[in-house]
Amino acid sequence: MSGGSDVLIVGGGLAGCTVAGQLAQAGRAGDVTIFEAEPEAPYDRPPLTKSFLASEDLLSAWPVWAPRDVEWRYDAVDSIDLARRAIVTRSGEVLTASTIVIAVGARARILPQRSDRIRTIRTAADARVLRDQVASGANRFLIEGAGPLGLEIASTLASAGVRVTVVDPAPAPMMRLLGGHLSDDVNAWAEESGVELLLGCRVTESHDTDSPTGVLARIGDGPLEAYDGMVSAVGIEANPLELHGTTGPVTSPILADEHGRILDPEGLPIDSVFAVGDIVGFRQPDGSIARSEAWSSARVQGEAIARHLLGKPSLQAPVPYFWTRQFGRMIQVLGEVGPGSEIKVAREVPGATGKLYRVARDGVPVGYIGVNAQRLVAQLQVQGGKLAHWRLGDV
Amino acid sequence: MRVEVDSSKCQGHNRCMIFAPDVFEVDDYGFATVRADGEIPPEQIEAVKHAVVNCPELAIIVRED
Ligand SMILES: Cc1cc2nc3c(=O)[nH]c(=O)nc-3n(C[C@H](O)[C@H](O)[C@H](O)COP(=O)(O)OP(=O)(O)OC[C@H]3O[C@@H](n4cnc5c(N)ncnc54)[C@H](O)[C@@H]3O)c2cc1C
Ligand code: SF4
Repeated sequence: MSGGSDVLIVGGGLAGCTVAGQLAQAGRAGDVTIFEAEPEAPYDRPPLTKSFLASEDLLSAWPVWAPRDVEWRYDAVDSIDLARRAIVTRSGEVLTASTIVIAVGARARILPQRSDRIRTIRTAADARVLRDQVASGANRFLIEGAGPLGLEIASTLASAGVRVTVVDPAPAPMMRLLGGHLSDDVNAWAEESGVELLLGCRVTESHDTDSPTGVLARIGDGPLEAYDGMVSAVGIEANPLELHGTTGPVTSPILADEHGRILDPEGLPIDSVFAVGDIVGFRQPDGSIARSEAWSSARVQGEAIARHLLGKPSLQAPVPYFWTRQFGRMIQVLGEVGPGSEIKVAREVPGATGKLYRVARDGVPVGYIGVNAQRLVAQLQVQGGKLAHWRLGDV
Repeated sequence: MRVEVDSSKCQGHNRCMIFAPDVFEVDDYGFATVRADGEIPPEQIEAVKHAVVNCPELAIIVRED
């Protein structure tokens, strides 16, 4: 066994890089090693389903949040012994460290019984494949999943002149994010962009056609129809990683405490082993565990871990934030606005179509949704030039 | 040290204002601008660095002069 990096980070996406970057900024770059499975310099994921897909842009590598001055190893980690803080890599290396940070993120899920021609978008390589398909003339696509990712892909492909059908069994678009709110609006945006949005139904059958990427698919009990390509955007699942050294299985998604320390099967934090980003789950009011799957959340969690490792006091976390850009709109979500909440217009953008909505559950404000209302969302968050420790009821 | 916002990239997430409210403000459309002349006072350098890495569009540019 070769010996010890001080801080070993498994996964060099946004979450792992945030921890590494904050440590590097505090002068500890020399203590940090990142293991990354993808043989590609770090890049940002949100643009993949937005501008990138319908452009000829190059992906900008090494975004500002990715530290160049730590040690980068392009090798996957296969297993981690949490008690001994030892890792085994794909190339067979065994290493120990005084601190381990698990930041392996997630991969796209594909529903069972789907043709292996079905594409997903999680990585730059995925996005390039789809982009090349469109550039070489594919012009009729079926997208499974009307979450933010599926609708971003639909919107971007439609803007490139592709005919798109989106199918989702949920009764409303972006059900998990928006809790069924703004359903009529999203339907109208899709329609005006020429996207066929079919809710409350699913793909019941799919086969390969003779063309290299083509798929024949049936929606509900409708006819079999031919598409030049099919994309799955039905959610994500944890990237595989073998964890041992605990008395029982660690949950998936991984539960962590407020400093990011992994909780063992008894719910106690494991010494010096952290988890961050899309691999982490949070206990929901109904007892289930859900990921936050948001860019800003990976940042906030990563910064909390770095502060803990640097012995700095923790900061009050800002209100959860997610955005999606689709059909020419910027949609911003502050707080948790999921199913079972009530919505009303809080403010309208003067002289334009933008709106800010306030969302409440049992009369208690839980969040806001802005549609092309960046200024109003900004005002919510910053009041009097100070970071607002705002209460949701204040505006 | 000077800071500016690349207005062709800024999408109005306002993260910069959250992390460095004394340096950034928003215009009428919700996009970020830099208060005053862009020179970062020493006590704001840490806050600006924090804003830079938290801007989802990578739109904040800091130049050492
Ligand atoms: C297409 C797309 C669009 C998005 N758009 C938005 C948006 O508009 N707004 C928003 O708030 N959020 C958005 N997100 C979500 C946001 O990008 C993620 O929440 C964020 O990337 C999570 O970061 P992460 O580091 O946890 O995971 P990842 O970014 O997945 O990084 C994990 C890294 O670990 C590596 N890895 C995996 N397994 C191993 C292993 N065994 N060993 C070593 N390395 C490993 C992976 O290769 C990867 O690089 C989007 C995500 C995608 C995919
Ligand atoms: S965080 Fe970035 S994108 Fe958002 S308002 Fe500031 S500069 Fe613009």
